[in-house]
Amino acid sequence: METKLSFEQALQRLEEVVRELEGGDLSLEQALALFQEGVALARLCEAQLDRAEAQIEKLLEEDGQILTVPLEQDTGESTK
Amino acid sequence: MYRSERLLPGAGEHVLSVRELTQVVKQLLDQEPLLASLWVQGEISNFKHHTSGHLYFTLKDAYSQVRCVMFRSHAQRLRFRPADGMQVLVHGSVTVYERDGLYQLYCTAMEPAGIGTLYLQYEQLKARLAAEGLFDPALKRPLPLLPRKVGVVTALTGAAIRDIITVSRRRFPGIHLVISPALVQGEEAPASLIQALQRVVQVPGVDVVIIGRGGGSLEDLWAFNDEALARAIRACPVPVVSAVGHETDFTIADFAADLRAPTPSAAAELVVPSRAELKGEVESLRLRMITQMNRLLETKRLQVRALAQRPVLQRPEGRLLQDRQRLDELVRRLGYAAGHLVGTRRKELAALAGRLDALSPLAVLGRGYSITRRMDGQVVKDARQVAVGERVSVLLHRGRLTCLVESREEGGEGGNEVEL
Repeated sequence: METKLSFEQALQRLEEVVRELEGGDLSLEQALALFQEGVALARLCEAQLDRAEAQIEKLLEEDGQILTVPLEQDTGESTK
Repeated sequence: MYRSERLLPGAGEHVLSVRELTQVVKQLLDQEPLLASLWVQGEISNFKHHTSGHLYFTLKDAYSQVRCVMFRSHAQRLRFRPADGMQVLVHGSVTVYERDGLYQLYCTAMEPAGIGTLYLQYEQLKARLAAEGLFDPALKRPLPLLPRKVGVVTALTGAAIRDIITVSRRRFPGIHLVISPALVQGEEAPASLIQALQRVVQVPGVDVVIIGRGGGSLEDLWAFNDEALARAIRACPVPVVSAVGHETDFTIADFAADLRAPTPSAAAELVVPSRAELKGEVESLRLRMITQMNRLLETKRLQVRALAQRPVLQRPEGRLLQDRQRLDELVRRLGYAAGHLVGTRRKELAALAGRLDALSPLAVLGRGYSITRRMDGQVVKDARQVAVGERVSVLLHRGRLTCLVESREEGGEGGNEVEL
């Protein structure tokens, strides 16, 4: 579904969905639609929390070009 | 050479009291605009913090000294503790302390020297930018709840970057940091910081930036009091968190930033969310949702059940039952009718058969009559048909007899008994 949602937007919408489910006098169809949306949103949120790219990069300038390179190699020197 | 003659005031000469003299001097000093507001730099000596809260000290340099006083109301606003030997820059006015006949410097502000002039610049810049609205709280942007990439503008070596990486990873192991190296002290630092900031926000996905350095002396932090840097921070397209490693002193960058963190570690805490907390939040929302959905389904189920038990919805089944009942009855009645019909016919048949019986000669025998026939089978209707001593056959209702005629009487019809 809306993969363009940021984590924040997804979480916010999920909160709304839960509140609507908890508060409203809903038809079964409405409730099911909300529930489905909520499940997808929760999944979306978790996917973003479980992302494992874990990158630490640094910017380098080379011939006027800005590059990103992993920092890992030289943190050793700088942190010890 | 000593002269013994007494030197007396001349006729036109006026003798002043000490007080008058002092007042003359005081008036002279008070007329001088320079002395009404001035900055003086010197070293503190004879420093006394009186129980009244007033400060008394002497400012001196290699050649001179001047008595100074700072009243409690001003002393309370000091951002450092003055002490003997300290070089300070003081602001105040000069006038005469009449009791002692001393001119004194009445201090209204004091800063450690060295940064004294810088401090002035700082205060002026701060006032100017504030007046311009650069620090307006309304301009402060909220930080993203979960940053896609965190830009970090700081030196590539040192405690600041190390602390930011450590804290960020602890809070959110999958965090993506983009370090944009910059000089963080010295004359070139402001330009370097600005460039690094402008570079890092060009990296796609960077949606928040930490700019800062580790702790240091006030002079070390001075790069963060740069006007151009403050404007660059304010102009940054994503929220900026300042992290200049000094708990107490605010830099211009701190005022311009969307959020000020006291240290780089604290900045990482503010910018990088705790993955565990967020997971917990999502999980609890999910649970609430499921619980609510189940509750709702149960409610609907009960509603359906309740509705199903209402006669309106019972009718189709009810009608079916009624129809079946009616059918059964019809079948029963049909069976009854058929049986009845057969019975009737049977009775009719019996009646007819009865009538047939009545017509049968055999039926007459049933009433006691009998038929007498000669042995040759001829039915005897007249006594003259038989001779005495002849044998006849008598057919009864049940069975037959062979009889011997003993006598005969000829005559009229019937009534005469036959003697056996």
